Amino acid sequence: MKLAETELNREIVSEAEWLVARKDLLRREKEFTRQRDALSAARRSLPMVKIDKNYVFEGPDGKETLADLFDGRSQLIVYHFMFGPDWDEGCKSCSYLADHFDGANWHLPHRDVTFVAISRAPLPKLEAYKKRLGWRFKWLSSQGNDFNFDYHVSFTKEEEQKNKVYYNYATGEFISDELPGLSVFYKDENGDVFHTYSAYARGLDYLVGTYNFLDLVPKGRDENPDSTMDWVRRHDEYLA
Amino acid sequence: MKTPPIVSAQKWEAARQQLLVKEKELTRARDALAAERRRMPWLAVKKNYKFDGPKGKVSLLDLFEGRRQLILYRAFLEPGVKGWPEHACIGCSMVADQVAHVAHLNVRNTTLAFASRASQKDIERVKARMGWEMPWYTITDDFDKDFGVDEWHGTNAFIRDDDSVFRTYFINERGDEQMGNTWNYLDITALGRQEEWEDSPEGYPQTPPYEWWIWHDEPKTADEDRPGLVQLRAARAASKGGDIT
Repeated sequence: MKLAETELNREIVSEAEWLVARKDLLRREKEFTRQRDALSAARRSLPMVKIDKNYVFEGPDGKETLADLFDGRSQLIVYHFMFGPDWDEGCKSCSYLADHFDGANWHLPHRDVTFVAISRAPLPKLEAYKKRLGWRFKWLSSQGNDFNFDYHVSFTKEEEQKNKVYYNYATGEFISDELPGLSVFYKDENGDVFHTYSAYARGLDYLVGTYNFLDLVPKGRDENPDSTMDWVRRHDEYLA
Repeated sequence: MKTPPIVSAQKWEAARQQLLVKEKELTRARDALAAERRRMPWLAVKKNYKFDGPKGKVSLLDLFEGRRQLILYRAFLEPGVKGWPEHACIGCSMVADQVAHVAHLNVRNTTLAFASRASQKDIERVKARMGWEMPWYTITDDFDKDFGVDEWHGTNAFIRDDDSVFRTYFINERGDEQMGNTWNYLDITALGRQEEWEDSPEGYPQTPPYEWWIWHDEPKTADEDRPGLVQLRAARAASKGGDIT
């Protein structure tokens, strides 16, 4: 495995020169961290929408409403996991994201956050798949309600025929009957529930710890720009 | 708590669209930073560092496990660190909790490992207790001093060309936050991290940074003397600035 074989050839320098280059990059990294803090502050100032619909989900604890899912906390994060009612397996890229959920979920409850995943597939399919991949997070089925459609992560046959869907805050061509997303809800002292935030597509990127690690190494994510998650498999399907 | 305005779905959509423009800018800025990282010069590692591993003495080269790249996180697990001998440092424990299935990094020809001063026996015990599965080595020489991690946590990245090893990257302090997605999740909630330094709307719940951290197996208590909190306060008092922002 010689570097020359792969065109990956970086300048090799002295420690002093390396430090100069590293410090220059660090200055820009710090700017970025501050920009990110400012963006998070802007998120906390987004207005909220009161939810009047009564969504009922099927989960491991039986039937639960959106308000029930808060589980005594005031904030709820829902990952919209792509798993259509007639699919045999959950989406492989969502599974890649889901490999990162449980670690964070040790700590989120200690900041007043409950985390769940919701899909349209029936509960027995979700539970079998969750067991196969060894996950702990709570996963509920929205089969039979409008939740996935209202939050723009599932699409109707009609939308498919018209080849026109609303996703990530823009109208575009139909891609799949399910797409990934994440939504955030807030419950006030009166028990009213509000929608505060949703993100889709690359807005989910920074939840993927593996990418955060890969962004530090010389080869980076090393992905096909036209089909970024080509290399991803379910963690029990990698060959080596 | 005084909430932001409660609006119609249409108005929310408009506000969300505006924020999305800024979020996309930041995503692109992050891509550009990662692109610069890929162009950083390399520093040859010339010393022959030795670590203890589960199967005995190993070199830095062995830590690659045959892969092209190595990411090595320096965790504080050793005598003298609060929590010893049951736990690693509370912050390092939180970082370890958030390492996802390493299969995804491995298929990108990249090995992720942790290193501490504790013996392999102690490391194995703490890993089993906390359910962690990443490779974790014992530092036996000047490695930590030479790579800027003798006093504080930090992450080094290396690449190898046959048997030659190069240091390509180092990050510490708040730079290590990107390795954990608890922070990323909290940053999208209505209340944020709920830490005092944050620019939040008036009246939002906020507590000092770090002090809410827990060992995930510690008993639930609001006790001000709980070991994690005592450790953090001592560490912050002893650190240069003590200010994460």
